[in-house]
Amino acid sequence: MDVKRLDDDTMLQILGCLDTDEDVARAGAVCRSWHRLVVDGRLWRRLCMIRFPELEVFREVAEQSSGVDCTTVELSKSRSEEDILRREHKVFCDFYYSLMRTSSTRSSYIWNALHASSTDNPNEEVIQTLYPHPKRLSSGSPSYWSSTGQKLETVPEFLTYRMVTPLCVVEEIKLRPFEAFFQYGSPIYSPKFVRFYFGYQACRAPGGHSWSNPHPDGNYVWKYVSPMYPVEQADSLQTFRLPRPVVCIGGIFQVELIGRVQKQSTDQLYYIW
Amino acid sequence: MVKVTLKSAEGDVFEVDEELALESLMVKNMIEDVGLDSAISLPNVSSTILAKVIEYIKFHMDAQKDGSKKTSEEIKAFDDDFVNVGIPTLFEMVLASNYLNVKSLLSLTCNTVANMIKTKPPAEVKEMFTSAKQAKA
Repeated sequence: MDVKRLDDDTMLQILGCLDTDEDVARAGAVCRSWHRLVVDGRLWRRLCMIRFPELEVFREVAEQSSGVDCTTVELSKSRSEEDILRREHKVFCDFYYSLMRTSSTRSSYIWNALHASSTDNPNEEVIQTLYPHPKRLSSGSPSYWSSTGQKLETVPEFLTYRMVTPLCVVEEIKLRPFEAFFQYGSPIYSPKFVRFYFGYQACRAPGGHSWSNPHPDGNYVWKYVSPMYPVEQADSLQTFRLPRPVVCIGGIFQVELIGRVQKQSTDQLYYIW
Repeated sequence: MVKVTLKSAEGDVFEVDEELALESLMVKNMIEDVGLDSAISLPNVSSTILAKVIEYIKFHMDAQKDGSKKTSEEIKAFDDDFVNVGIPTLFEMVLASNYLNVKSLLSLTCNTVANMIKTKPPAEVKEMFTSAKQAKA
């Protein structure tokens, strides 16, 4: 029987079924015409979008020209479709691998604490959630954040943090409820549930200083919202693994603390610590 | 039941139910354009392959009908068996399902070829495709 050659159109349908970076990279190395298909079929872009759906916000690849003059403008205007595809291919390929690398190189992405929806005392600021946590008073003063007290157990709290980079991949979040060991019975004021948000600040302050001095009310745009995770009422570092590695775009991270379990015996109000 | 006549590359004639023929978007468009009076000529599809495509569509149409007792395991077993053919036939089926525009068969055959490529080093993949081409000579 005759073997028919697969045309580019059908070959691309086949290569489009490849869903790992190894396979796409290997396909591009088979021969020149397959490499072309990988470029023209925008397979790296597709792979990025499958792995990190948050990247949908990146619609096109723009070129940052240094020292713009008339010649470069003219040149970029006359760029062919082919050039654009080739550049896009390179960008998404590099992008993919750098994102995969960031997810394994760093242990923590939190740079500093921005604000909390409420704070009970000046010595219980949200920044204290980032400091190590001595177990007993004798080994230093305790470091924790505390909400104000509420009559209702349903009032949520929000803790907002700045991340070290506006673009990174997060796989899991760790959180430790505080055991108030200096109170009678060592109560633990954990929330019932947590939920995590990643995003950016919608409007920047004039002069572009918002990076270092953000507006306390937030005005945030969330690009990713995690599912809700139950929190154990225990003094332990609890790990919340996201359903998949998530690309965080914008450098703002927020924890929503949902539901209160512990009343403070002195005022009969619910707190979260 | 209205019948549609399909003519393969070799000129063999296949008479099928209209319902079945419409599963091919290409044939569907042809029927809309020229009507049912004359046979629909498919010069890019050989008799062997056309018979296979019809077999595939027929099985899946029956499986989707109410009262069909086919389990998803049975359907998967049929699909696996259906694409368990040599590379030349598989390629022809990819081309035919692309030409006839039968989405489910195209996706089945493309995934089958893709699975053959997966995890193989480039040289081996190249070998696979060139030997498929040379087998023709």
